[in-house]
Amino acid sequence: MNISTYALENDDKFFFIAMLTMAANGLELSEKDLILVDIEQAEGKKFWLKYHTEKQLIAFAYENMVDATWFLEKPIQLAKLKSLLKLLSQTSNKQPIVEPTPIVESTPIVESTPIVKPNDSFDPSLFLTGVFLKHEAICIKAANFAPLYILPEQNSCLTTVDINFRHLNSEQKQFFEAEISQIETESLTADDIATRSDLYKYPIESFLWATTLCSSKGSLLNGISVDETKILLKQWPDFSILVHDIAHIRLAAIMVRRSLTLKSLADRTQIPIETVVNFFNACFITQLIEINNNISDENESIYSSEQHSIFKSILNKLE
Amino acid sequence: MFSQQVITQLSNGLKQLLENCDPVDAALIATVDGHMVTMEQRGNYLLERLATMGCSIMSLGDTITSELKMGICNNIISENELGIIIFMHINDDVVLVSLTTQKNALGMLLTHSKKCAQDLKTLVN
Amino acid sequence: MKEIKLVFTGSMGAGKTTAISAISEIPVINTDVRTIGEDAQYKKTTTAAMDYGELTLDDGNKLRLYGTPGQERFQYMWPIIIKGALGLIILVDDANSHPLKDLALFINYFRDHINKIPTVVGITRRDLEQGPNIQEYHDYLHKEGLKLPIFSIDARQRDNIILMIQALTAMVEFN
Ligand SMILES: Nc1nc2c(ncn2[C@@H]2O[C@H](COP(=O)(O)OP(=O)(O)OP(=O)(O)O)[C@@H](O)[C@H]2O)c(=O)[nH]1
Ligand SMILES: [Mg+2]
Repeated sequence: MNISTYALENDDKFFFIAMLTMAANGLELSEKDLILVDIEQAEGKKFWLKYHTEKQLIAFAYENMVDATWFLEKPIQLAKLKSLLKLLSQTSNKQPIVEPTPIVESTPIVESTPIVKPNDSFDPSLFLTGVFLKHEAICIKAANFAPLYILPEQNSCLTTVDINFRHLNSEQKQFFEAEISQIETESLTADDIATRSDLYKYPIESFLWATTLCSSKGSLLNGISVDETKILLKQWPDFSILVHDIAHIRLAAIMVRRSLTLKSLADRTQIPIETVVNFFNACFITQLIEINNNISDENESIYSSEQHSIFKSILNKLE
Repeated sequence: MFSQQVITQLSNGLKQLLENCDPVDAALIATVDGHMVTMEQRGNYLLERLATMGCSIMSLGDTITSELKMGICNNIISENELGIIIFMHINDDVVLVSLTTQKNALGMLLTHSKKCAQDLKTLVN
Repeated sequence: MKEIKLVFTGSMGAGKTTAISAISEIPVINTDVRTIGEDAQYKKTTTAAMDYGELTLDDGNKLRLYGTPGQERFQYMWPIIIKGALGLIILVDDANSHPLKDLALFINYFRDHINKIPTVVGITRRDLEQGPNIQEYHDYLHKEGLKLPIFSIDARQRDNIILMIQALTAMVEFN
């Protein structure tokens, strides 16, 4: 399946591209060319009116005011995108729709973004992350780790292992880095483990985060450019339930305030770009990222370097 | 916390204090965690807040006294430009706060307040 | 010598006294008094004036750790204690009946300070009751135009208190 976009705002375009691979994970997708059109943009609306009978279009808006067969609600969310793809793959060959004509690509007003995946990009579907994103009740076995029970309905993961997300041991790290080929899954219902009293319970977010952080290995999610895409953190991650070290806390502190590229984040913080990328991926997957290509407002500094050194000496003492 | 009957008796105790000792302008009883139990006054003071503040002072007094291993803190006296305030325990649960605007009445205020606290002790135990 | 002061504030029973005890190197000076009446069902003691703890830094300077009383009727202590603070830690008891309102009370009261000193929010006692989702606390702060760190913590755990101080430190570094 090849989905291009039309008249999407920059943020939406990035999100769409980045989420597409994740959403498609596990689905049998048919050969098909589709165009996602933002019908709330003037250009997009025009395009829709002109082509919706002859091309395979997906309407993109807050509400499906054009009664489109295929519709994606704003803002883009993984679950919604996923159900759309499911629908698309099920209804695939029954629709007697004319193939899109080359006009789309050649008209000057058309901006079309083919989905290409660079080789070194992080593909969540190749790791545990992909399994978590499926949002299914399953039992996972991987990397000699105790079985992990996922119950999305209850937003929880359960296992016999007492995990301290502040200090993962090497066994736990291996588990979080597991590749799809090492992972076995079995279906599960809440009743299967209802009587178990030996299980520790964790929020799914903790696992989704840990596996993304551990398996990214410096490869960036699709659709994001290290030195062009400016990003902002919507809010502080709840580090108390997430794998982290001091570098991540420093990154969060700057990323909630300034919209910067990953490259400039690495430069400013002197944190290796791999660490920045891993952190970004984990934030993105847990939906904490806002793409913001507007010029960043350089807020005035209100704290002195003296204050910073005092805080550092407090930490020195405590750690 | 305290029955209405006990509160009435405590009020009467405070009335007695004001009657027996002319310089006393106001007196109140508060729990050690700062809730007003009852009060009596000749003037127009906002005593609710004094009840909580009195308990903060009393708790600091207790902390200081035990820090210095001086046993139990009997009372705290605050002598001010325009008057005197005394804070004292009636027992472990309640505190008596009394005040006067007469600068030379410390002795009287202290003696009568102590007696009052002593008398009321059996009621709250 | 300069005053280096961190202030712990927040709702009754959230764990201010506990948190200070978790990192102070001196026995905490505490002014906890017995709770009488209704409060006693909830908690045996409550801070009536302040908590005070200390930590000697490597350069010999002292970090002073102050805790405010949590109950609103002791509010007169808050401005006294916050004076000169270098950082503010707001703790909210998630198991209380209106934790979002509790947070709002302290955000509003200390708003001027929050604009000037790094501030972090710790939501405690989340193991006890199903309180609001952490997102609801963030949504409230966003409405207030604030983007403070919010961590779900256990005030008894030293590690958790250190996390909050790490966040304060990073906020001062990149502001
Ligand atoms: N179960 C549980 N208990 C906690 C947690 N955090 C703190 N506590 C407990 O909660 C209580 C908090 O009490 P304090 O530290 O006195 O609270 P405070 O904020 O000083 O309260 P006030 O001074 O009354 O405003 C203590 O008994 C702690 O052991 C937590 O995350 N889980
Ligand atoms: Mg306390």
